[in-house]
Amino acid sequence: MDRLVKRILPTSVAVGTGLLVLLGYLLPIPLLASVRDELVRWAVIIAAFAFILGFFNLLRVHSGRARKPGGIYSAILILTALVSLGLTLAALLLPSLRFLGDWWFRYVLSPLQATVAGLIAFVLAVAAFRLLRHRREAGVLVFLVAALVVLLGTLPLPAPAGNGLVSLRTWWMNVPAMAGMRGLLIGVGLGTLLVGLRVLIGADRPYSD
Amino acid sequence: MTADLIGLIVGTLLTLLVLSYILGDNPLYRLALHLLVGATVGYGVAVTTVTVLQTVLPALQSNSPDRIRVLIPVILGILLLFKGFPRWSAWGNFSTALLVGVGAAVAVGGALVGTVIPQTAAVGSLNAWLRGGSAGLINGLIAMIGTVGAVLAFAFAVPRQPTLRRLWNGSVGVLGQVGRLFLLAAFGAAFGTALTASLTVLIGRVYSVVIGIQKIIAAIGMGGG
Repeated sequence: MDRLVKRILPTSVAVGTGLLVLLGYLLPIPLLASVRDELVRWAVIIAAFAFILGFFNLLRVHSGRARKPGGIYSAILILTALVSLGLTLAALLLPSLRFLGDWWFRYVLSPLQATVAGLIAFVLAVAAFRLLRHRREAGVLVFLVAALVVLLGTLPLPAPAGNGLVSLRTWWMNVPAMAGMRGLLIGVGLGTLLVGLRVLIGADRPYSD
Repeated sequence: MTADLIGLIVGTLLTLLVLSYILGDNPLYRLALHLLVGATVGYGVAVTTVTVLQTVLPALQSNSPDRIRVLIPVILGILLLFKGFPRWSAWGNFSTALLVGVGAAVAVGGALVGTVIPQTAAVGSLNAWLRGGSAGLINGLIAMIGTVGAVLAFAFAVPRQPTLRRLWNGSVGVLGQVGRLFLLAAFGAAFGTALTASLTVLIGRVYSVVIGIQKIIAAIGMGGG
């Protein structure tokens, strides 16, 4: 019974729904396509519950850490998460309180997210500097030349040097960089196919306890 | 003090907290990161919950066949919440299995139809190369060698038989080495593009801090004596 609930039934659900969705993508049969759409819609609703479960798990993990020495950051995280949840829920459910959600998004979420995104420039520059200092080989040279070509080609430099750099950047993006990225994409695609097929034939069961 | 002015002070302070990372990892930056995670997660859960409620509730309240179609994923979603309790977590396996099964099928379908087939077809599109004349042909050949090499750069298995291994190293191994250079060319280009984009955002944030401080000073009456 335990084995049935923990392993056999979940594997049947995963393999069955997975094959139905895959066949819905590959075969031009309207019935299979509608079954595929319905199952994907179910998965989206269940994924929303998974997100909520993840939220409670985050609160549980950090409430444990908050009680330990140096747990002030975890306490702040919990407090911020609850305030953010409350304000956004209030703004979405009660139109009269919409200004609260707008304020939170405009003055807290947006500056934090944008500044962290901007900080990537600093992190990338430091990483490039360290790469240049510690590893001096042909591959690193190609990497840095590529980065320089793209950066200089983006600058609005005067002609003729500017035009030449823009042409070089365009060629670099369309030929060598595109070839590398295409190879990488095909490799990632083949890897995804392999992992997905292992799940679909029941060789991998990440859902079993 | 208006809500906008308070917001301006809060936004400027939070920006400065994050930017303090430039001086090295420090408690102010860690505080900003925890604030970011908390605020983002709370916002995401609120939006998700309201979106699901707005999708599910009208269907559940109606008497149409849609009711059953929505009820099943809602029950599976509730079962998934049992994953939070170790004693009953096995009941959540059905929902996880459906998520994994559908996710794997979507990933396989997407990888096959959206990536592997079109990208492989584009590698050898001779007609597209010839449209660009002799330069197009040369560029197409370079791109083809680069793509094949980049794929082979991930071939780590080597035949055991010495003759086959020598043959493998002389062909696949060499192409893989060339492919690694093309991969680095792509990574460098991606690095340059990411650096340009994030620099633009960083300049925007620094500018907003300057403007924010000017506005705060003006609002609290310190500007211009």
